[in-house]
Amino acid sequence: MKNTVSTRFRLWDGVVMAAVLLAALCLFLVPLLRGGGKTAIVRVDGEIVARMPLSRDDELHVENNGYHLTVTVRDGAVFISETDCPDRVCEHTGKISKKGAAIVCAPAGVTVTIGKGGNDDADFVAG
Amino acid sequence: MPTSSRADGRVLRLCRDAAFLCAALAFSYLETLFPLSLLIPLPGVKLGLANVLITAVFFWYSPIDAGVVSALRVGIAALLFGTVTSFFFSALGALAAYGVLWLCRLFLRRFCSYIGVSVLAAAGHQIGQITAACLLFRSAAPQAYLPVLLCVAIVTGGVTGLLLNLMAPRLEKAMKRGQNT
Repeated sequence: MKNTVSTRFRLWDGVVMAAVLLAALCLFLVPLLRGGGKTAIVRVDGEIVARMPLSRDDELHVENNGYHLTVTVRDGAVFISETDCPDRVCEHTGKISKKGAAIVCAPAGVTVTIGKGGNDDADFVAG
Repeated sequence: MPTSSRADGRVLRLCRDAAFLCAALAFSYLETLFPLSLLIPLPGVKLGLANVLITAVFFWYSPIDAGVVSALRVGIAALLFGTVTSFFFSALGALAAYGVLWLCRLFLRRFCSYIGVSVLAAAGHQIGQITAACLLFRSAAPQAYLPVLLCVAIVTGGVTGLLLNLMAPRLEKAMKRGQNT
């Protein structure tokens, strides 16, 4: 057995960490630079169950896999106002309104994404 | 005798890989006992202690041994304390991390210590898991979490890499002593 990798912190370790951080920052900033969307698209297990215009305050109850979620549209933004899912990731995501932004609740299999309106699904890339 | 020594080598390799597999499984179990997600409320946030061993095997012995250990670990861990979904997530994560290890071996190992390698492997692991989530939801929505998970990868990869940096020279000495006796 031989160590084929250095075991002391090197300059390139810092470069790698900085590069990953930079990539994360870019990925974080790109959606913010995009314009606001017009519709919230609610999906359950990949199927679109509702399109909610962001211009009108509204509420929607979704139930799947034994979990309940309340999707709320208020003041041009959409957020999960209530859930009984233990992770609470979707709640913590907070309000979204920019194109391409998303709220995901993994246990319930529910996603909320922002589209332009109408039948626009162009901001979806095949996974 | 050359034949018997080659057979000895094979047995040694089998036992060694089996030992690393057991240790990796033990680490996987340890992590389910103390989930890091209690501190950071995000799904899929793990220190990845088992990956310390996979990375070690990859660079100490051979990528093939590491691939076998990694694949068996994912499979057995899923059978022992996972679900079909968690298996899918960890399989894609492990596969992506393994790919990144190969890239590090080809391009980076002269420049980096285990910290850089671990950070990249952790980032690869997260990308693999996000891909799994995208496939599962049939939507690109989960990629919105990638920036957060990449930041997490810097921390968890940094910690596991530091562990490897500290552990590697000592273990190297210990193993050499073991082989000579």
